[in-house]
Amino acid sequence: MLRTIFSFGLAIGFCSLAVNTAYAETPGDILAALKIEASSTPGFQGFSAARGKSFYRNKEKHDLSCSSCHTDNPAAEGKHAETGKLIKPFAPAANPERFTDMKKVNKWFRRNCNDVLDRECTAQEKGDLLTYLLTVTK
Amino acid sequence: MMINTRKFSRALAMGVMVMVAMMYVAHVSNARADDDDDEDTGHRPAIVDAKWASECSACHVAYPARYLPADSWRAIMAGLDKHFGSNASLDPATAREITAYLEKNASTRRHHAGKPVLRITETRWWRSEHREIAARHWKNPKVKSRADCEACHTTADKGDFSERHVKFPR
Repeated sequence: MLRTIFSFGLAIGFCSLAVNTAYAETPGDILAALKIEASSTPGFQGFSAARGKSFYRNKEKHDLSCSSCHTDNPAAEGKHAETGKLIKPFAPAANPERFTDMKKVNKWFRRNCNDVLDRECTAQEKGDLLTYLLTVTK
Repeated sequence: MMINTRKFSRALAMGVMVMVAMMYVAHVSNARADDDDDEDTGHRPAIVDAKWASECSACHVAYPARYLPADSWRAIMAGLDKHFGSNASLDPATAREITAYLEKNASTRRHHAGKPVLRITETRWWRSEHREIAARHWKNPKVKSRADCEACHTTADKGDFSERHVKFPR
């Protein structure tokens, strides 16, 4: 009897562990979703890591770019330009939590694109950026 | 056997009573230690909203609800798309939940009627609490701004702003 209870408890423990570490989505899923979105734009020819890299560093308005907070190396820890708060690495290779929750991804693109570009980013820009980030190694 | 059981339960009851008494004493002395002659106990409310804790700490330390009145929080939450120079907008359901939490735990101190204060550092309470802080601390590059509580309040991220955890950076 005791053994049954014990193994049952153990099983529950393992299950909750598995649930905790499993992410809702993978960066690949999110890239695929962006590709579907971008495909509806006429002339779409796929994503490019090179374009993503220049987008990441390009300062268009307000003297701001992604790299202002996430630093030139997306695998490094960043710092909030305003508050100085530490920002965990942007590249999935250095931070497995990145790009694993579509809701979170949408939230941060909406906020940060508006801060940096005064507008939302296009699916092309988001896809290029993620393609670049996925090429970054630790 | 009967006597043993009775003895045992009496001992157990005594033990529990002693434990409760000790916990009470610890609680009271803790509350006294935190008394910085203001209403602030230095600690988070018993129930912390999980969305408030994660969303409001993404870019800065999560400023406790008790440091601003409810109308200030309502004004802040209504203008998240232009939040002190950053877009901090939330989905409507999350914003509603956080606003309700902030309202419920807001400061009940009397405050001036008129335009709600949007910065904790502009409240009379905050200014009075910090009036003895020397200018050199504010000029220290490690103190990003007056909003950078964590620079000196080393346990601010846990909602604990009590004086005994203040350490000025060098």
